Amino acid sequence: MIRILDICHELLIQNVTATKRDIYYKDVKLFGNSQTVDLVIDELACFFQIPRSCLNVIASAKGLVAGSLKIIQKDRSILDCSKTSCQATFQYILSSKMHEQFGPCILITGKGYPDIATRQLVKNLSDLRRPDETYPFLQILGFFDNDPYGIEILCVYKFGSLTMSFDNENLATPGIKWLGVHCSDWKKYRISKSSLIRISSADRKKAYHLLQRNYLQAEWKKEICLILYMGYKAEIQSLDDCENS
Amino acid sequence: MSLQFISFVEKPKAHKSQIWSVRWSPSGNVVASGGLDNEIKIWEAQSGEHYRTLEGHILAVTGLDINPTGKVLISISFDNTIKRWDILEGNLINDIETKPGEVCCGQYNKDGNYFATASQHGTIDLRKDSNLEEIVATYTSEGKYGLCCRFSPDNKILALGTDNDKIYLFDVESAKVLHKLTGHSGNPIRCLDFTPDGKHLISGSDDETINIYDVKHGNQISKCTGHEGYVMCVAAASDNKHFVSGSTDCKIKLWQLPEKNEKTQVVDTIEEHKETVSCISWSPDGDKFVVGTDNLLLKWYCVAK
Repeated sequence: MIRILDICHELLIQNVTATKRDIYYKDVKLFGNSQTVDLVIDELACFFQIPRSCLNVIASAKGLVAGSLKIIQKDRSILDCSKTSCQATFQYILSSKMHEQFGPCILITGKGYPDIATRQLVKNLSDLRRPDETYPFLQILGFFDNDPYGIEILCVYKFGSLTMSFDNENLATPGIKWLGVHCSDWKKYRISKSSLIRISSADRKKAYHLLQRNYLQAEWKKEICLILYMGYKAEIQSLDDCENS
Repeated sequence: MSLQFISFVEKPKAHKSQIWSVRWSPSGNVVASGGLDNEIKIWEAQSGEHYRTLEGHILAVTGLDINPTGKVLISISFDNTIKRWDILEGNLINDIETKPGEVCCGQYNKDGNYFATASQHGTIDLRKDSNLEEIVATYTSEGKYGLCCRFSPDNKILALGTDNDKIYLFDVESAKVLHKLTGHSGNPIRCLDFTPDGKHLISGSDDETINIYDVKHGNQISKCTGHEGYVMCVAAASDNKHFVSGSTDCKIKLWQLPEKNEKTQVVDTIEEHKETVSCISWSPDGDKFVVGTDNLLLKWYCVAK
């Protein structure tokens, strides 16, 4: 912990940033594994009641973004998100030109559980307000696999993560709406039965766990109950395998 | 002799969400229903008039049963409780906490002194009606996730249907496995019922078929095809010759059991429903039944010649 405090101090004095992984590599022998570094940094941030970025530790970005968005970075350079990127489902949705049909829109993926950078971006976008009458604010629509893990990812966006709940003001997007995939979509879009996967014991455990969270709205709990009752889950890709695509 | 269905009572919007469990009281006077809206509703059996609502569960009701006297109702829910109610007074008598996945369905035995519950560990727990918390016997299988359990009419056998196509028949007294049945191509067994004479076991599965087994010899004597969706519920009729089934294909079918080497026949099909028919229960006098659907509808039918 002392070593990490020392490193952070150095970063702050020199006004540079580093990722958790960068810090781990500074002294692999001492830290042993990257999880140790992750844990200590989180603890320090929690102790000082500050976001991690104030320690000049930045999240190494895992997520992807594409669409009608331009970001002006600290160094004044412009990041133009209308360029494509590489994750499979993301690429597939992009290639369907959905964002042009229903646009203008911005597509973001956290590639599974969203990291801080992704959640921060979504949060910042949802807070944006413009004088433009047509689009005064951005609708944040979440689209996840129809399984307990997908629903948990939705919860991370909406409520923040359980481990970093002290920083939810900066990271949670309470206004996010759940677009799908829902159980009612199986019949609605005639998803073929072969696309439905039997839920595992891990899925069931996760589902029961989510049901214990009192702050979850009733409609979301109903959806979890439906998955448990029918015993099937579906991935986003199952919409591609419809009987009437 | 041909039989057919006639509907005599219909209750649209009986619940605010899908109806997953329905039971005609053994005393004949009321019907109970429960499902995704967390509420249990009690209805007058003949007229369908709403009698009362039992509120208390905070998550979906996945199963319910009424004891032989018709006075007590037990309900099972995803909120990890078993609740025992006085139907006529409308109050909660017992509220038992269970672990997640410990109880997913249950049934009273014919005497009403025991209540069997199936767990997601592939076991049946036998509980006393007078003290539901106490598990007096456990029946274990190598099956994954018990989805349904059923007492034989003579209370001597307990059947367990599992997630992976295995049906276990346990001797209630000794807990020995009498038979291990299979026959649904690896699919979940969603529902089971014994014929009143205890000779046959009917199983419904996600492979869209219904199997008929000889209970004594433990062999499959018939496979009934016709549904085009998961078979969500089966219920044997009192004449030991017929049974009804409901499915995600939105149909209700009335079947005639085979005599000797004949095939099981579909006698009649109701195709009027637009959503899954999830649950069915016969009246004690055996000529009527009630169904619950995903369309929030409860409908009563009688079977006429």
